[in-house]
Amino acid sequence: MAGVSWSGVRKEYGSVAALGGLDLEARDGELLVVVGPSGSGKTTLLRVTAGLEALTAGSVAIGGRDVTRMPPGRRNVAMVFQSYALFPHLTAEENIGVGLEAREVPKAERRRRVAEAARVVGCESLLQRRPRELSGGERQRVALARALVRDPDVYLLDEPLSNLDAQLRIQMRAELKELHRRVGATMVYVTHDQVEALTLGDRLIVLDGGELQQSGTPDELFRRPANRFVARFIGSPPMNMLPAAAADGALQVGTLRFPAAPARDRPLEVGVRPEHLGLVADGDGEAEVQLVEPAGSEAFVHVRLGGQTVVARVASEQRPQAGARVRLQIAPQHLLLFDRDTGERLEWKL
Amino acid sequence: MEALDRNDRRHLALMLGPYLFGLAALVALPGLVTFGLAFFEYDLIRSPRFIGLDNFRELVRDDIFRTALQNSLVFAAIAVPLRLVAALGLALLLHRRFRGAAAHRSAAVLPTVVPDIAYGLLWLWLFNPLYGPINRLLEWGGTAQETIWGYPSPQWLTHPNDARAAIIIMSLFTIGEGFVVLLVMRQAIPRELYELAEVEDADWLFVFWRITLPLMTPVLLLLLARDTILSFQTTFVPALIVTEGGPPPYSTTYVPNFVYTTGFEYLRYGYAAAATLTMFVLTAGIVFIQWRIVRRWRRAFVV
Amino acid sequence: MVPLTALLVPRFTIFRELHLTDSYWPLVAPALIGLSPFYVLLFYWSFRRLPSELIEAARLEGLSPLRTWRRIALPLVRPTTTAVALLAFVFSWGNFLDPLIYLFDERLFTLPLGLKSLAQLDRQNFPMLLAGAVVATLPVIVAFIYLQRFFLADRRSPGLD
Repeated sequence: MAGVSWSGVRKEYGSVAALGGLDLEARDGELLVVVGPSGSGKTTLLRVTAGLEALTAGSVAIGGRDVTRMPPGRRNVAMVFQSYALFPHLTAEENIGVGLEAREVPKAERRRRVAEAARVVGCESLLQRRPRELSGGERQRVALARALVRDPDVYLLDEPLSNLDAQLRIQMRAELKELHRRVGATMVYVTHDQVEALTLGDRLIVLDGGELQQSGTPDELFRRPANRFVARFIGSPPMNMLPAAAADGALQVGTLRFPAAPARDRPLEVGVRPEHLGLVADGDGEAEVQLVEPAGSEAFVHVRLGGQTVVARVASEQRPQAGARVRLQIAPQHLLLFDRDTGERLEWKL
Repeated sequence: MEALDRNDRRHLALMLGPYLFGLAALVALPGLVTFGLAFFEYDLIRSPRFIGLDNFRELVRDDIFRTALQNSLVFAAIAVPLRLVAALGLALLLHRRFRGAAAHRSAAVLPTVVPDIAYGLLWLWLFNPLYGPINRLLEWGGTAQETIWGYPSPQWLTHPNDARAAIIIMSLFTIGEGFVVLLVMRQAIPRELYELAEVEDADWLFVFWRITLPLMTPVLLLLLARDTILSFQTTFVPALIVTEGGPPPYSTTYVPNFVYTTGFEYLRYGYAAAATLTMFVLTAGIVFIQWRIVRRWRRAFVV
Repeated sequence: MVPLTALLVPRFTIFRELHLTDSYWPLVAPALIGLSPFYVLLFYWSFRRLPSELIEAARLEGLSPLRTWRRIALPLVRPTTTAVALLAFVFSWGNFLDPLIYLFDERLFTLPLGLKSLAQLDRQNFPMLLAGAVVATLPVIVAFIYLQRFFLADRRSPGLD
């Protein structure tokens, strides 16, 4: 069993807490994605797991062993850095085999294992080249092979795709997922790109400011976000947030009225995703189309309502013109209710 | 910072070991010995005899030492700034890419690389008042022993001040180390800063004063301190070979020469140690003052 | 950065007590501290400029500090190594002061001392003196011209200022 568990993990730099008392776990064999904006502490979490930074408080265990005091080389983890960290003066083959070389694995066996790892990631033809002779995607494969060859307990990946161009990124994303399926090891994957997180992860952990916002499957996070942060972070374009009020047993959102309000009496907010926001052409509509962004088969329509702008996602054929007046339509089952002060999502029954 | 276990610590200790041993044996220990020896009288034959502050009292009265100290201080005051300016000037001139850049830079470094003796012998010839090329050149167009402007040509090796000037001139060419360091530092400044200045139509004085100089100040300070300390040594060989302690009386005897003569020719090791200690304290004081001045000056134009 | 002259006398006394004068030991010993703290500083600067991720990756792969230094860090600072090698050679080759005070047996004399004897022999014989100077300088110049390309040439990409 080689899962990872973090208990009470705190990392402070001076008076700033990069990680604030986290209790998390990565189950054996799962691909856990840690996602959040820059500064959320996700890279710090990874580095602390690798042993590149020491904890201020708490402990990390890999496969049940407490590794908090162990140096990086002894934790049996492999890390793929954002910049790949390939040694420029060594060939790809030497790069991949450097860990084996340090463990005094005999040359013949080393070559065999390196060739095997290279084959799995698809870079066998590149083995004699130096990093400067490799493209971004090729370098990434070599970095992956270097991680693979040691057969570690846990793989740590720090935004491995962010230095690749868009097309390549999508391709490598699929390859990574496939790789994980084949290898079956625990992977902790850090990214700021929520699309990557949703497509890759078995489970997601959302961090903000060093604090855990929510952990769960991609579906859970998408459909049932725990708070406003997660609701707006997951999903693109972000969820629209509109002020709401409970009045006379109904929920009032602008000019829309929904039966059955929550029993609470506090300032409220509703969230509705762009794909669930309907636009009906109506000369007397209260909303005006500000901007239309065509995006292939669909379009993003920015609509001004009251003092606010919301975004709707419509099929390209149905997109309105800028300046047109529209009426908003929302099916109540797609509404999410939030406490406007705490940001917490509230349950409510229709 | 990462976690380090016992094994790693052992490795690091082993790697540092020889160096620390060398430091202790070749620097720390001799340093302490100097400090102690200064209060003794020791000539290698009889055992050391404690004499307290007598060495220092004698130093104060010693005309030769005072002259040597004065010579060294004057040399440091004049040569060190000139050398830094020369190194900086050359570095700023030669940092760009251009054809033959490597050759020019090599030329700038070459004098430093030449062994001290050979360098000294060369200047022995150059400075010769009668046959040396320098005076031959200066006298061209003038009458015998006079330059074209009517002044007598410098009697490099036979007049006290001319001799001192000679030593200073010799030191102006051996700026290779400073040059290389400043070159690298200048090349390390991001190009964007200069491009911005160009877009803002800044003149070269502004660029130098506000961009180049502030960014190179840390290194300059380091070089200033190092050169000051070194200046109390580099005069040894030239003074020994070219001027042999100078036209009397002792006009180019510098502190290292004094220490050498006192210690290794007169065998008065305690006395030499006292002289060394004095020089050391003085140097430390000068470097400290330099540091304070530059620090205050820097605050004046920190953005 | 203690000036060498400050250590001259006590180092001599130490070596004398160890009966190591009139041998090459005192001349070689400073190699233990890298000859000059300046050279150590040069290496320090160069190593600092290496991307820390490289060192981190090495540590993660299980390389000991010694192996990290030898296999990863050192090969990546070749210009500095070349520069220091050259500087150290220049210093040792032309070292006048140390042989002067430690060597008494003429058979052990190094080149600088030989030149000094020449000068003492006949101070006015410039052709001979300069010939000696050339012999002493030539190896250094050859080494310098050959090696300078490794650390004096531009290391910036073309088109830069």
